[in-house]
Amino acid sequence: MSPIDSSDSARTSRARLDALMPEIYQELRRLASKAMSAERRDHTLQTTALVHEAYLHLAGVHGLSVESRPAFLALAAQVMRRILVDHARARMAEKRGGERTRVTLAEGVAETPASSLDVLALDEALERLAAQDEQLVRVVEMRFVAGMSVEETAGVLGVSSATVKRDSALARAWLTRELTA
Amino acid sequence: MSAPRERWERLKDLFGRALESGPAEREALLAEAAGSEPDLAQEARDLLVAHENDGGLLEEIMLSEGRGLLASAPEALAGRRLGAWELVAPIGHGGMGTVFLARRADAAYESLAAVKLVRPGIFSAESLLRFRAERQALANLNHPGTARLLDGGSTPEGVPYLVMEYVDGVPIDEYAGAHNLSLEKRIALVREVCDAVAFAHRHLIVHRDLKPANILVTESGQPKLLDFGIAKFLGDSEPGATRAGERLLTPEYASPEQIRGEPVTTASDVYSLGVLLYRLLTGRSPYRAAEGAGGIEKAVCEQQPSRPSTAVARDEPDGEPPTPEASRRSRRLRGDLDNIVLKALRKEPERRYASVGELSEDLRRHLAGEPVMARGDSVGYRASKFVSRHRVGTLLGALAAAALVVALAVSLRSAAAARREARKAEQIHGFVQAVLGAPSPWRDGRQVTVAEALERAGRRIGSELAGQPDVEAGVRRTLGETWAGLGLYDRAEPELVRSLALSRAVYGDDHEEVARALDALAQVRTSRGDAAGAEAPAREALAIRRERHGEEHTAVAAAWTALGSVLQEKGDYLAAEAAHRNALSIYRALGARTAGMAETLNDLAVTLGTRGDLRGAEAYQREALEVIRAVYHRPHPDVASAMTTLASVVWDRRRDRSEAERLYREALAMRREVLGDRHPDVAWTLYNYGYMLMEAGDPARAEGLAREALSLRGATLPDSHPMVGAALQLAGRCRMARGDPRGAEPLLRESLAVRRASMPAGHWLLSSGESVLGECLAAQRRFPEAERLLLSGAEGLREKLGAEHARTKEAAGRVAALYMSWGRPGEAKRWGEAASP
Repeated sequence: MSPIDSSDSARTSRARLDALMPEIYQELRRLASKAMSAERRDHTLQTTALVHEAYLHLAGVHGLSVESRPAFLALAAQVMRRILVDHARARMAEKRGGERTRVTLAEGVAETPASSLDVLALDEALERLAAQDEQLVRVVEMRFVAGMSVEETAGVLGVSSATVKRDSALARAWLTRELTA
Repeated sequence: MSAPRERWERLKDLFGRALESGPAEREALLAEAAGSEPDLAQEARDLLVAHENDGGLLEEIMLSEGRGLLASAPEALAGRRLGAWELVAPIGHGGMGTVFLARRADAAYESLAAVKLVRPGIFSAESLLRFRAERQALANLNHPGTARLLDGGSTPEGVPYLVMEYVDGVPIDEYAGAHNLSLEKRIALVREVCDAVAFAHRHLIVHRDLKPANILVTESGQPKLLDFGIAKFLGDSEPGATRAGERLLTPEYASPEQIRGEPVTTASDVYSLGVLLYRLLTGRSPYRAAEGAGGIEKAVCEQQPSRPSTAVARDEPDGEPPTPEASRRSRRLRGDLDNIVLKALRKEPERRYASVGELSEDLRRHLAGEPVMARGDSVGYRASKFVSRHRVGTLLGALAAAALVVALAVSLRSAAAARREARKAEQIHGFVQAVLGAPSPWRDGRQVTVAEALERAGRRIGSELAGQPDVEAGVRRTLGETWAGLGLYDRAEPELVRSLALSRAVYGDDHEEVARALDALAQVRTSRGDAAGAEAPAREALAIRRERHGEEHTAVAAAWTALGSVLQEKGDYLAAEAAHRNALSIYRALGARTAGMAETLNDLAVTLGTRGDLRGAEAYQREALEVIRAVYHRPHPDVASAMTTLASVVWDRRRDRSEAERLYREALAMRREVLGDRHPDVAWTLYNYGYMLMEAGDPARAEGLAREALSLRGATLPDSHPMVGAALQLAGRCRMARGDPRGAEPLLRESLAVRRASMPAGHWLLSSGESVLGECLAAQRRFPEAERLLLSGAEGLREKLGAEHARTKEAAGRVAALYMSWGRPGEAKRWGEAASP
């Protein structure tokens, strides 16, 4: 991965955040389960909401500075992507087992819902895109998984907002072409 | 920088500049780039197109996987409320998602359900829409052998869910094993499953996923089918879905056509029932699957299953000889049962039983020792059957031998008839299937309702069945009966009239087919309140049966009872009584203590009760209950009906409140157990029980029961249902008995209004409603208004039910009471005389 910022303080803070990776992973999973039980009428499960909630929680626990927020979100977006992919893979594996239940619709059935295929396909497409242009993948993660603004994304990457907009449009167009081909 | 990297940078630059330009400028940019690097320009063009077409695909993917993530944490869902249902605890987890035990969160009474949370991707968005459209048809599938679909929807996160009747039972194979059921009992159990499946097929719903895990047997021995018609919505329609749909099946129970992804029809359910039967009779799968992926699928499509009798004898490991138990069972399976099972399991759908009903009928024949259809019609076979059935008779010698020859001639003729019958049944079946299972029953993303499919079928008959009047007659009768099943009697009648005319032309006037068409017509006319129009077909159907079978035959008895019910509806009680008595004497002469006999006894009791002969009514109704209990041996809707009828007779005749209450409570519990809490019949029992309590001088409890019955108003109990008007009236009368005529008035007015909307003018219940409303107004001292209603009501009842009927006298008593309060003693005295017994 290319360095995202050249300043010393940013590197330190980045190293500190990297150490938080496992904790971010746990936190996001916990939030996902919790979101399901929450009695919130307006709730729609969005990865972006989870990522932000995870930040609020961990920032409190670890006393992270406001300045580290964009970097944290960028990292959490990568973790979130990992979780989605792990989950899709787990589902693919589970279909081979399948338990017997008393009240069942399709006991022991295979399941390959379009969405898991899509997430895995998206992940593979992102890997191919990363081989071509790493920065575009970071833009996708930050903008679409973490829901960060153009300006925040530009700040983390150290590029102009116009570049983020163009990269974002290009990445989406490229991925759409890959996934619908 | 490497060359590919440089090219990528130029692509980024071109894409970025084109994105920011207007259309003309963009074209110029691309054209210029194409001059030096055509590939690059083309790729930029493709990406710009993808950019235009980007419909939020990435967000969609993220969101849907995010939902899946949520659905994978089911324990967190307990306590959550979905619509009217509160999730209690997860009780199962399968490939489709998680199943919760749920209870109704908004009801006064305890009601449990199973809620299935469907994982995203199992239902495509499109099939979810269709599922919603068809949900009503599934919800209407009201059969004691089927777990009902109660509700459905989506959580706020967009996770679809289904609410099903909760069934506390074990899979049928485990049940048979745990209770060590005999072969006969296993067959009887499968026949009950067949009944439920056949019922659904008549409502044009195919199960598609019959297997032990979907057939639970309750403590009381009632098999219940789960998940009717839902398999259809799993993973179809989307690109690549054929594959997914395939994998959703349980391969062992799936038919070859399902595995191949070909159209699924009722024949697929016949096949799955064959696998079920195989497993219950032998404890084994019909196939010996090859190792590895796709082994079972391959076996299902290619392997000929071994005979069940061979399978049970063979399977001793290490080449040891079969145990005596296995040999005994093998002998028992050899012959009929081998043939029946293998016929259900044929690879070609058209060579299986034409319907689930035929499979069930063959099983019945086997149990009764009659010849089964699943076998060539060889004379030797039929003769051996005949001899075993009439072993005693054949020992008598020459006489018996002569009888055998006659019987053989008869059964050979009927065998030829049966073959014709089977061919026709297949054609009829094929046509209905072709229409209903046409490759795209969904047009323009819109569901084709059963009604539309029927209409489509009706339109196609003329052209497609030209020159096949026998098949057309059958198809039209099926259509008519299906319309009638939907309650659309005015659509049903023309089809049945047409079917009758065709049957007459094809078979002549005295054929069983004509009699069946007449039966159906009489029933539909009675249902729509045209009992007078029903009498002629009912009488003709009876005449045909007498002509064909002689006097002493159950078919003749059933025809007498059918005529009796028509006459009862018509109000000709004397003739109805005579008809029912004719039927009863036939059953008694034959010694046939069947469900048909119980029905006759019940109808006779009702007729006698209507005429005021309560002693006779009680005696016959007791016998009806005794017979029907012996027929079923366990909770059954018909047993509950017999109980409630007996309860009302016991109360009317002897005012034996404790016995009547005991019968009502038992019937109520039985109906709730077998039919579910929201079934219209449950409302009826509540109403009848309440009516008795009101008469017993307990209006407070009676009103409670009437209101409980009314709480079931809604989809399954529309206002056109006669119970609604009755329960409204009962609640109003209870209010009055509790000294609140003003509170009673709106209830009684509503009762009269719903009855007027749904009953033919001149029905005695309308007169009764007027009389009761008049009494209510009299109690409020609104005398002139009250007088008009009371007189009209009393007159109507006298006309319909006769001057001596208890209700007529009751109404006269109300008129007398009016004139007393109004201070007109002369008229009061005159009406009082009419009211006195």
